[in-house]
Amino acid sequence: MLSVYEAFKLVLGIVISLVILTVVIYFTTNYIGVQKDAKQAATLKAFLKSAGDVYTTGDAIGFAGLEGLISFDAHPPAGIVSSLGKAPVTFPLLLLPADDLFISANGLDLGWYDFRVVEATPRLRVLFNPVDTSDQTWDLVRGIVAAFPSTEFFDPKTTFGFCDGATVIENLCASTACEQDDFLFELINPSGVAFADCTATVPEGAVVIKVIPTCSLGSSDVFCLTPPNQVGLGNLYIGGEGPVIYKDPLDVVAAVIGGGKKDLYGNSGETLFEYKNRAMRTELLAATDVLKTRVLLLGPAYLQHATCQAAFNDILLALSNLSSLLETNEDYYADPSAAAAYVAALTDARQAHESLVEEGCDYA
Amino acid sequence: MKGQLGLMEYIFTAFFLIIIVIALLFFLTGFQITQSVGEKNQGSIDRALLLLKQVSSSPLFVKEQGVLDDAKLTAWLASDTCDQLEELFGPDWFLEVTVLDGTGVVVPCSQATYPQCNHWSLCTQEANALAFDLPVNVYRNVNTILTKDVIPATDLGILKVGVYVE
Repeated sequence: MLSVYEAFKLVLGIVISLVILTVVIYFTTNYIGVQKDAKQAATLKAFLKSAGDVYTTGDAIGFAGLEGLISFDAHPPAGIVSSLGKAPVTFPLLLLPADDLFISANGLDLGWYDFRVVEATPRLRVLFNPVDTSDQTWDLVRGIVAAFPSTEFFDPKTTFGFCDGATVIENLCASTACEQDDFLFELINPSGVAFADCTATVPEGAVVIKVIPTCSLGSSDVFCLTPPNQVGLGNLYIGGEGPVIYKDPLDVVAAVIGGGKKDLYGNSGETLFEYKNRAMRTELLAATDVLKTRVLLLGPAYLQHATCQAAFNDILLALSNLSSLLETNEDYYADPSAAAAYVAALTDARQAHESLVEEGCDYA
Repeated sequence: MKGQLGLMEYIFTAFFLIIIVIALLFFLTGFQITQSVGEKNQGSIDRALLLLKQVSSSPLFVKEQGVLDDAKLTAWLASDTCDQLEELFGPDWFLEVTVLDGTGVVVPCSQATYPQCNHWSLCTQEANALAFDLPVNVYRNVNTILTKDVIPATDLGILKVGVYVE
């Protein structure tokens, strides 16, 4: 028979054990959550650091371990979204989230300025379908290929091929899919044979970039471009939606990396396309301001040099036009006349800078 | 009496056991808090280092990687540039460049003093900051003005980039 004392000890022991157990389990559960968040934060920080290093050095690297942790919100302020919130990104980043990524730097050389972006992409299979085979179209195709990541010696790969009617042609380089350099070599002297409109089922993980005079609705992995006009502008249909106006190869690459899926803001490719153009506008506004002031600072030193004075005046005028156009047209990329004026202003600025360098008045 | 003493012993043991468990929990929580504070500091360090690398390689500041352009630096000294810099690189940071020209005299740069100056200071404020220095080259666009030529030069300088912390 249990005495009162023993019963008391038993009950007290059980109560105390339950209390300790409850506290320990509660703490452990919270601790697991905190540690999981800490691990995610560390991975995200490592990714941002790697992308920042690629942006500043230009040296590409692979990155693994994101495991579905993140997405990219291109709406301002742009940043990487995870369960921990939104981490701002202070450089232009074209990101297609995946477990394994290849991070590389690319950009546009405007002559007087270099606009750089970081591209973070998984395995990409890009199939071109140039129904229009004019020289401008092949120049455009070469430009687009060069604007994609060069993944030689790295994984995951970005490979290129063609779609001709119902046939997908990928193994063009020693029976394997071509990477950037090898594909550009294949495009040095493209044959005069026109490609038939691509009707093949788009393979898993592939995208088709058509260049055709009239674009029709397509699936989310088909990007249709009309051939560029005399100033290099054309229409880009993203997964059958659009069009948007492309002005340079990076516009097309941004849309492809964004993809043709639905997102919070409409179309993911269009969202990334707009992000690229907004980032470029912000940077070019700063660059034109700085370089205009720079010309005004250097000008007085060249008072005895008529040719340099003229060259400085030309570039000042060109940069002023570009700056004024960007300031008054926030959506310069969406309006055909503004886009055409923008391309013309960039051309003028490039030519003025080249003259300045040729005259020996400034460095390249 | 003996029974009561045994009971008290039992209660004290249980009590101290609970105290030890609670103390352990407090210790672990404190450790987590210290780790989080450390992570925040590390975040500031990482940001300052990224800004340092960005400034020393961005065509907005340099002639080429590691060579700052003195005319571009002076151009940034105009008004409203901090807002533009914040839009490009984020808020709460600053940069200073000092040319080591051997004179020992610091001449702040402005559009009036250019090119006879050797110190640029952007977005500085009186606040706690975490900063890093880096030796750089500074390209002096108009070092010597001759009748028929303008001769540039490259001087050694120190680039300091920092972020403001609480």
